[in-house]
Amino acid sequence: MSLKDSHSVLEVKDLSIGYFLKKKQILISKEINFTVPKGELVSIVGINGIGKSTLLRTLANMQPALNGIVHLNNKNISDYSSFQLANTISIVLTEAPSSKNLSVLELISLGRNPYTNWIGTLSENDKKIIQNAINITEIEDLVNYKCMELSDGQLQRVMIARALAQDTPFILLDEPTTHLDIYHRAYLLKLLKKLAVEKQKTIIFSTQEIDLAIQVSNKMIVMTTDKVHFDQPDKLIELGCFNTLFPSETIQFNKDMKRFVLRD
Amino acid sequence: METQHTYRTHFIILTLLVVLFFFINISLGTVSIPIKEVFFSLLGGEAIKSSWQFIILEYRLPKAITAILVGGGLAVSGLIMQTLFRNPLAGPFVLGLSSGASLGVALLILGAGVFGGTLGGFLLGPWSLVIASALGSFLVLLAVLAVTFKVKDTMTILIIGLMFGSVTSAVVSVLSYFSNAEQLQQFVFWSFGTLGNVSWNGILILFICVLIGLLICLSSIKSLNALLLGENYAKSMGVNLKKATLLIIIATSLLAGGITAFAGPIAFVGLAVPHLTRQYFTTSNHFILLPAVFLSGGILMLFCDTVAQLPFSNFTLPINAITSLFGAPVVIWLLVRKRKLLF
Repeated sequence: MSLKDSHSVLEVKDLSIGYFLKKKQILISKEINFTVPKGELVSIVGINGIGKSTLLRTLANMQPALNGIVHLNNKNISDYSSFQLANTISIVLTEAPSSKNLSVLELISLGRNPYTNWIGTLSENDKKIIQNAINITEIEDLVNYKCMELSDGQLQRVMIARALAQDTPFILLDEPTTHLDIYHRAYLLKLLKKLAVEKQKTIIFSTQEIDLAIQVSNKMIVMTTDKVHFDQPDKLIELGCFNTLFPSETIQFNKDMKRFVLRD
Repeated sequence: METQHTYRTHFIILTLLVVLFFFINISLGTVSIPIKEVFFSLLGGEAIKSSWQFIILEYRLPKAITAILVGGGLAVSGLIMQTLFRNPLAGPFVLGLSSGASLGVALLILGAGVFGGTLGGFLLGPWSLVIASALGSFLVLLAVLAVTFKVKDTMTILIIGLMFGSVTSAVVSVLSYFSNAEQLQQFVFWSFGTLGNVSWNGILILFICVLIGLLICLSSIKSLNALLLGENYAKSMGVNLKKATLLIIIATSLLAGGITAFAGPIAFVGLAVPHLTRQYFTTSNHFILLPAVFLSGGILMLFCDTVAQLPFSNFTLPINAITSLFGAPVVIWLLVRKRKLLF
């Protein structure tokens, strides 16, 4: 049974994240527990520097966990070979592609890299998957553009299309809504929702857009200094989690409006 | 990687240009030989004067072949350096490979005085230059490799390469200060670069170096393409970063080290040709860029060599001066016109 046929699920138990600095362990967050089934959209929110990116990097095995377990389909993530991992998780990072000279089509087709032969020849099936990725992200008009000619919102969609072309059950995105205006933020989150529902992708993204994330996510990971909460948005609101996110003298979460409001 | 065009006409034109410049290069030189006789000699016939035949077969033909190997090899090493370091200003010089070669040759020529007369005389055979320069590049390469395993950041490696270059040129300065005029002249001539001193045996060794370097590049096409997105993305697509980096650096040192050993340090080809090639091949796909850059480098080198030998005169200019005179304005023009060098 291949990985894709099995019931894709991400399981995190007692995870501690952080990094090593001169052999000293720097702990960023601990006691992280959650389980994400297939086809769910999960957002990670929290104040700057709380460890959202570190958590995503740990989930993608880009850096080791300090402690605890990350299981993908009942298998420890560190036991995955680099090919299996490329086959299971695709990422969209905050960093722009290094080469600004890449055309959109070239960039998206790079997503097929794990599957092509030694010289990178694309099969008809590869081309079909690339075209599907282009269609679902609605960037048909952009394929002949160079990266340097794209706006932030367009580039973000192109990077998501590349992740889709990689054809993995999991997609992790680090702050995909940064630098976008409210229309493009909403558009992008709706796109992620569509991918989770229609393509049954398991999508985890970090964001500063708490109001929008509450509306769109199946579950949310709320990172605070004391505790990492994980639940459905409505239940997190009931628990009053969002009020513990930021120092409360400036803004406060309004339960009825489901959003933050300024304090006088 | 899916690319919009196959660039078939581009490749046909480039190949024709290589052939054209190859024959122009062979036809022109200090001694004027009728074109008919040139072709006659090349095809194995006997020219009217046996000296003409000798000049064509033993001097101009190997020089033209060397020019293609040197130009193409340096240009390809520049291309893969720019991708590996994700820096449009990277080239074979930046890693300090040619500085290492210079140091090796400087130690050999200028240090000969220090080691005394007999030993010095023995050391200065024609092969010892090649060995010293190859050894110099290889040692710098080993140092760079050691750093690569310790430091992850490619920017840092780039800066360390520049520092290697500074240190070696300082050592060369000190050595020059203590050496006599004759030795200094010999070193200066080597540093001018030359294509004409390579024998058929030398060409065989150069060809093997360039061929292995190119084959490694060919095997790295996928990693090179993935690296265009950055290290993190490349890794997420299953690229073994350490292995890919190691292979690319070995390929560069084989190409740049081998070429510098035979032809001396030749500037700007590695930096300018990839950028020039991107002007008419508007793709980032290395599958297309690698052969395109190799052919373009060969054309440029044949052209520079033709200019350097100042046809119909008795002078031959240093090839390094010609490539710099041509290369530096090209880079400036690209910077001014495009505002930014992209890779």
